[in-house]
Amino acid sequence: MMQEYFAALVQVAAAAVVAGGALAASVILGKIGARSKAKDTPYECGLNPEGNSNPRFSVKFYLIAMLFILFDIEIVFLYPWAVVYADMVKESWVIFGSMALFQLILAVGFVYEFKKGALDWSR
Amino acid sequence: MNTVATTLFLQKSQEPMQWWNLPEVWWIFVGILLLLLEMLRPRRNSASIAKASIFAFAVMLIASLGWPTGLETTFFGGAYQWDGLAIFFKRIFLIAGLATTWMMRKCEAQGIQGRDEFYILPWFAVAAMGFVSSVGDFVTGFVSIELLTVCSYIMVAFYRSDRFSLEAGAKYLVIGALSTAFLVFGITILFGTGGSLRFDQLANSLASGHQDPAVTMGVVLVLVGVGFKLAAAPFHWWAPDVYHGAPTPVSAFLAVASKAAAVVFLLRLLIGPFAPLWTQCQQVLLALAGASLLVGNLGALSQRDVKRVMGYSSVSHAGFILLGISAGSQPAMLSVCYYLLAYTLATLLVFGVICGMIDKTGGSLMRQFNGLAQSRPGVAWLMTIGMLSLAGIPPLSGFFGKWFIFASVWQEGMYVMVFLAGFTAVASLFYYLAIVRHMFFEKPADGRAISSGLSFGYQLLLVVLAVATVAVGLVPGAVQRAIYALIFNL
Repeated sequence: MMQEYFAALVQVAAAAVVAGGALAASVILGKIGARSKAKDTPYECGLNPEGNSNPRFSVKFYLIAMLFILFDIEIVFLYPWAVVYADMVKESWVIFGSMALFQLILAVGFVYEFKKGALDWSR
Repeated sequence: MNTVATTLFLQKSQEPMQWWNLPEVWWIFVGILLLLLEMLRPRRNSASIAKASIFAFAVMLIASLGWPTGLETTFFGGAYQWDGLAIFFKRIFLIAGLATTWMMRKCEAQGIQGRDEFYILPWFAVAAMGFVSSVGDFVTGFVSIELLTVCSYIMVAFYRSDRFSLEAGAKYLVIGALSTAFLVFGITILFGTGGSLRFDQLANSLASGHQDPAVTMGVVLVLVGVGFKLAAAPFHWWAPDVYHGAPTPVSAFLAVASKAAAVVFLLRLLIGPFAPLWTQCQQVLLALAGASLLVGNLGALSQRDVKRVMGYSSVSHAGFILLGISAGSQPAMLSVCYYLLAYTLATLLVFGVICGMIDKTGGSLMRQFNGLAQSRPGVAWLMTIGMLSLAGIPPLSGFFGKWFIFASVWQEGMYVMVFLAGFTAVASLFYYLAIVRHMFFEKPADGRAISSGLSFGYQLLLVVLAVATVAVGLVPGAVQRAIYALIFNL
C-alpha cells in the first residue's frame, strides 16, 4: 500500500541530494576556509550600497496596489468564464445572472472605495 | 413591500424554498445596504448606522421564528443544507450578532467615530457563519470560514491607536493564516484521496478507502485547523492575548459566535465525510478535550485580568464542548447544543458587563472591579449570575449544560474523562469566584466609587441576557426537548 508513495520518497531524496550537493559544492569549490580582507566584507563581489535599504514609502502605494490586484483578479476570472460558458449563456439565464450578481456586488465595492476616497491620491 | 414581508416572515407558506429566501442572502443584502447607506448619507452620524444595524438584527431574529422547521433540503447542488441543526446555530449567531452590535455602541468613546464599518462587519461575519452552519461542501466551508476570519481580523484591530488592539490584530492574523494553511492542506489531501469535495460523496469514498494513511493525515490536518478556530488546546495560544487586546464586543463575538461556527463545522464534518473515520477522530477529539480542560482551567488561575480569564475560560469551555462531541451519541449532540446555548448567554452577559464598565473602571484588571457591588450593585449581580453560570452552579443554565455533557459521556463509559472534567470544573470555581470576590469584598484602591452611566437600552440588554441565563436553567428539560424537536425534525 505504501508503494504508491515511492515517487514522493524519490522526490524528497532528490531534493535532499540537490540541496546537500549545493552546500557541499560551495564548501569544496568556494574555499570557505581561505580568509582575506575582501572575503570578510559583506558584499564580497559587489559595490557597497549607498544609503538606507528600506526608505519610507507612502502607505497609499500599498492601498492602490491592493485594490489593483483585487479588481485585476476579478477581470482575470471574467475571461475564462466568458470563454468556457459562451455557448451555455445563450441557453440559460442562470449563468449570466450569477455573473451579473457577482459583478453587482463588485460594483458596490468599487463605489465604496471611491466614496471613501481610497483612489484620491492627494488626500 | 408586501412581498418582502411575505418572504421575510411567512416562509412557511412558501413551498418549495427558493435560494433567494435563504437567510444568508438577506443578511448579506442588509450588510451591503448598510454599507451603501454609510457612504451615501449626507451627514456623518454614527448613531444612525448603529441603530439601523441593531434594528435589522432584531428584525432578522424575529423573522427567524418563521423559518420552516422539519424540512431537510439542499441548495446549490448540495453545497448548502437546510435542516434543524443549521436553524439552531443560525439563531445562536443572530443572538450573538445582535448583542455584539448593541455592545459596540459603548465603544464610541474609544475612538471609532466616523468608521461605522464596525457596526456593519458583524453582518458579513454572521452571514459567513450562517453558511458554515449549512455547509455541505468543502469549498463552501473554506470560503465562508475565510469570510468570517477576515471580518474578525478587521474587528479585532479596530482601535487603531491602541497598541493592545494592534498586537491582538497582528497575532490573530498570523495564527489565522497558519490555521487556514492547515485546513486547506487537509482539504487538498482529502480531495486527492477521496476524489470529491462534496460531503456526501466524500463520505462514500472515504468509507471504502479509509485505510490509506493519507486520509488519516488529511483528517488530522483539518481537525487541527478547526482546533485553532475553536481555541482548543494545544492550539489556544492566541485566545488570551486576542481576547484581551480586542475591543470588548469583538472579544465577546469571538468567544461566542466564532467558537459556535467552529463547533457546527466540526459537527457537520463528523456526521458527514468523517463518519467512516469516527474511531480515529474520536481519539483526536478526546486528546484535544482533555488538553483544553486542563490548560484552560489551570491557566486561568494565575490571570489577573478579567478579559484574559475569559480567554482561558473559553479554552476550557471548548474542552467541555469537545468532550461532549467525542461521546458521539445522539444525547451527546443535544447536550452540546444545550451547553452552547447556556455558554452563549452567560458569556455575552459577562462581556456585556465588562464592556459597559470598562471606561468607568479604567481597565479590565480584576482589582479595577473592586467595590463594584457597593457602587453599582445591580451590575455586580448581573456579572455574578454570568460567572456562576459559566462555573456551573445550580440552578443556572451552565450547571445543566455540564450535567448533560457529563451524563452522556458517562453513558459511553469514558469515566476517566468525566472525573478529569469534574476536577477541572471545580478548579474553575476559583477564578470565576475570584472576580465575584473582587466585586463584593474588596475595597476600591483609591476609595473612589465607580460612577454609573449605563443607558436604559444597555441595561435592558444585560437584564434580558441574565433572565435568559436563569430561565434556560430553570426549565432544562423543556429547552432540551425543544432543541431535540428542532434538530431531529419532530
